[in-house]
Amino acid sequence: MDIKEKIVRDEFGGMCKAFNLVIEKIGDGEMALIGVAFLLLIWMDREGVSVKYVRSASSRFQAIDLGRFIALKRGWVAGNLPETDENIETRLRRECSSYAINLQKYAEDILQGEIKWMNEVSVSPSVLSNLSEKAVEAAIERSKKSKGI
Amino acid sequence: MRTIFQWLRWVCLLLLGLAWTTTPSFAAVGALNQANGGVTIRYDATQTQNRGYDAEPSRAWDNNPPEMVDASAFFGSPAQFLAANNVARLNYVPTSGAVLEGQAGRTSTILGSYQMDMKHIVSEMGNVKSLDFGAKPGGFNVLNVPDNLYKSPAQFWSQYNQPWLAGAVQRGDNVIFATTPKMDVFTRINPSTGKFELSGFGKEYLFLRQNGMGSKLSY
Repeated sequence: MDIKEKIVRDEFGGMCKAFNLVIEKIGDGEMALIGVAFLLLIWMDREGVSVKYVRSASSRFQAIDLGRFIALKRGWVAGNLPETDENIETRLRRECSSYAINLQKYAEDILQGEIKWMNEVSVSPSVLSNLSEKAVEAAIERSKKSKGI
Repeated sequence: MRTIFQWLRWVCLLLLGLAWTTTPSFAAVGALNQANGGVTIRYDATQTQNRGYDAEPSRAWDNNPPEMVDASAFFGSPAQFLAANNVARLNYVPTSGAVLEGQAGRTSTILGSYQMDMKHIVSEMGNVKSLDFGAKPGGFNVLNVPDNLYKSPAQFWSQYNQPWLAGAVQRGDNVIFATTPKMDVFTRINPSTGKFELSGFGKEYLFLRQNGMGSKLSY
């Protein structure tokens, strides 16, 4: 298990247990929290952490920046943690922790499977590349096996 | 005597020329009226155009393109054609839908979101870490410096990202967007500050626009 996978399992573990999400590694710096009808992609690179809500739509996966959505539409005002001169590992861990706390606070309905929020005008999905889609599909299959489905 | 023959020669040539320009094509001439035992030569007005003088020549080239139009006819495959011209091509299909193909004699700089596209691109290119920011005629210019050189977003931009992109602007590179430029990928929320900040891709796009590349960007 690499350090980025460990960070996600440590910081998102509680949230995944509460909302019945299965954690699967997609690739380097890319993890998936897989639910029944959606999944969250956690992207970690040197710029930081971002969380994408991914849902299958007309044979392709659509990805929506969930952090952007809850900041713009649900009143998430992050920033209670001062930015310090820290290493990348510490920063990724802190950002993952912040996401895990605030997604449960501001996006509880989304984590429970609600999809009405996607009808909002401001929601702008992006497509995933073919390579990413294949990796996501493989992760979904692995999660089904781990659930015994 | 010689002068007379020369005059006769000129007259014959003139007559031949007149005959050519005024005679309908052979297709216009048909044999008719053979009932009375003779042959009447008919002149078919619908076939009078001599192909040599058509206002709209037959577009045989367009309708029947020769094999040489297809590069693969000579090189076996487009990839061989590109290789013969020292032009690089990647198989990865980016989310923008752009074709990742170089231009002969010119460097192609590829920009995009790391997670959405660039990680797949540098992977296909062998993930070679390099500080070579020079021209790569026919090839691709991507930013993939050793990871340990990254300390902070500001430091990385000023020391590596901006100089790399400035070189591309100075050369007048062909810029390919692997990710469709839009606000969602230009910014990210910083959970520490609570503010939206420019992503690396966002900074690169802004830099190009501020440095006169705006009109040359197509996506």
